[in-house]
Amino acid sequence: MKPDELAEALVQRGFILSDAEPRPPGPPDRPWYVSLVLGASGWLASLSGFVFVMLLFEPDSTGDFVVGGLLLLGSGYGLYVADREGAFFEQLALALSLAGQLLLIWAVGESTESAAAAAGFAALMCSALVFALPNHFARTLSALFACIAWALAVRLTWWGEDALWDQRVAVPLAPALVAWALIWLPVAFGVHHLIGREARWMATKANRIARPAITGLLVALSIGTWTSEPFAALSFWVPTEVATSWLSLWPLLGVAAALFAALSAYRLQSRALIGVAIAGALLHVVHFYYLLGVRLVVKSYIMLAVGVLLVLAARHMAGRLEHEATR
Amino acid sequence: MNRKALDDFATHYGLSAEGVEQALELARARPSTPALIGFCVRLLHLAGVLSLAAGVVFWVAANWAVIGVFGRFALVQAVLAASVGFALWRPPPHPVGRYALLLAFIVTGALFALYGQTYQTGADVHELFLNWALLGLAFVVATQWSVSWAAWTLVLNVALFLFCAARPAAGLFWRLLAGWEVSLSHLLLLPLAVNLLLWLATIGLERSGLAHLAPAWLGRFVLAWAVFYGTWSATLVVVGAAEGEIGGLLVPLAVFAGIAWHTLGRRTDVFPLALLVASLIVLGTALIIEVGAFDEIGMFFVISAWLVVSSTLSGRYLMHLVRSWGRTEVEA
Repeated sequence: MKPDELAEALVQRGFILSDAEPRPPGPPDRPWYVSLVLGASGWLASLSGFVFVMLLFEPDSTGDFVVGGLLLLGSGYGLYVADREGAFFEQLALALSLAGQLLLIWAVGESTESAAAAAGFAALMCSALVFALPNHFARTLSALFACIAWALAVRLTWWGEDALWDQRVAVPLAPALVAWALIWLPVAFGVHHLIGREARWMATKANRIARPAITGLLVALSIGTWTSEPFAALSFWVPTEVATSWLSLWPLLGVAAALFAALSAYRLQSRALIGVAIAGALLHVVHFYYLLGVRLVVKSYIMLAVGVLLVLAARHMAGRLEHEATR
Repeated sequence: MNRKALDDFATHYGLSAEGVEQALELARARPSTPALIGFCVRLLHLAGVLSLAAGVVFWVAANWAVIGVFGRFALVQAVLAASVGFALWRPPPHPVGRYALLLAFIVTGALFALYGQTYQTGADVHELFLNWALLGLAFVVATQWSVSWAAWTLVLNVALFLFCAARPAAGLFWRLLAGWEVSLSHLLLLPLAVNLLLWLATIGLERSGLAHLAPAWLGRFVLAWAVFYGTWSATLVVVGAAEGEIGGLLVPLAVFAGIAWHTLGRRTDVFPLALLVASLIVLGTALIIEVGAFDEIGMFFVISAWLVVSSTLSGRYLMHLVRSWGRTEVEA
């Protein structure tokens, strides 16, 4: 349905005044590949800018890092405000704000000497930036990074940094499941809640925050488990000792999260996000294969059991759907 | 109307929550409950089948060491034979036949890998992928499906990538070039040419009866590979790793100019220009690193500034084309 047809229908139903000014045709949506070029360039520019600031100012105290980070983040925010509608300064603003965030996270890490504290701070900061930054793309990235940082914060707080690199750290099943639920169930609940109340926040200014936030949360559900531990599967050597670690189940749970993201994306009628979710699910299966901690033959039995359950669930739902249709 | 358009619509008319509900319903922006359940069924079915397949692969991998040579070949060839059997039972374009032949193509590669691993023929990995692409071609043609052609293109490009990157001085294929002392930047013109021809083939098929075999996304996929190899070749010349091999720079630039000319003439798809823009950003960065007479601090500043300016200007130009050509991608 075209916008003018929709407007006409809503006028007839009394939701729009008959003399309301017609909505002018908006600018076309930015294609995903243009966003990819801009996003990648912005990221590389922010990393380069970060190194530049480090070399130029040689910050050697927490205060130096904090001041530098706040200046860069503030400059990025200012550019976003100054050029809300255009894209001219958007890339520079993105680079500055990302570089500023990196400096602030570095500052927290340096002062606390704790990766968990840095991750926790990053989660809080990015969550605040979802509300603060006046740019759709920046809000989406902030929501995504907040979820990744939250995942790292929980994991590092519970098991420390060693668990990321040392295959001798044993992790029982129950804590592994509880931790994953603690990380991703709130995100999933947030998505479900936002979709359920979509009409309410679309009618308010909150749509400027909720729309990019929901995109960031869906991407996080799709690829979050992998992005919060991307190097764990890169074991180029065979360790002499490998303890049983049920953290290796996380990618499989990540598949479930990705499937939920696909279903939520379908509710929003977004093919792009459905594609991201399916790609994320496949990535998690590969991740599950390579992650050490549980024997491969045990993993195979788990996959077979899960496959049987999913097919049975699908058939049951299909049967009910057919039954409802014939009634 | 996508969600962004609906957001703008709701904001412009100041709709209440009830008004937005009506708008979402009228615009059919929400799937009905049966449609949602239907999607859920398809998703669970696909996930279940893939989970079972992955479980089988995991189990075979876990027990590989205890399976004898005969058992290994019997296992892989049984899957191949079963796939062909399913395809004969339900020939393409039936979905069963298509998926079966796609699986047969994939298993062909596994069979080559098993053969190479078992008999230590001395063949290089790129030869495995090349043979896979050549001998699996029959399955791909039989599927009459663009997804199979994408898989075949991927295998072919992996072969070309390994051939160029590893540069083995052995093997039948390499011996064809051994006497020419071909540099890497010139060697990369080969995969550039192959992918360019494939891209032109997809364009040529657009208005024919075989258009379904070459949808737009497949053309983009192939073109992305071509631009990748061209960028790689040109970057080697720019950074001085291929001194004197000016052809490695001029040929890709000429090809890129041709792609740009063709795209600007057709005015249908901005994607090729986005690829070229990304390539030029990479080349520009490489040039700055190579010729920039800066110290460390200056170098990072200039690179940062270059990335921001180049991506901003290119983004504006690409969006200008998107607006004027009237084609957009539907996004969330």
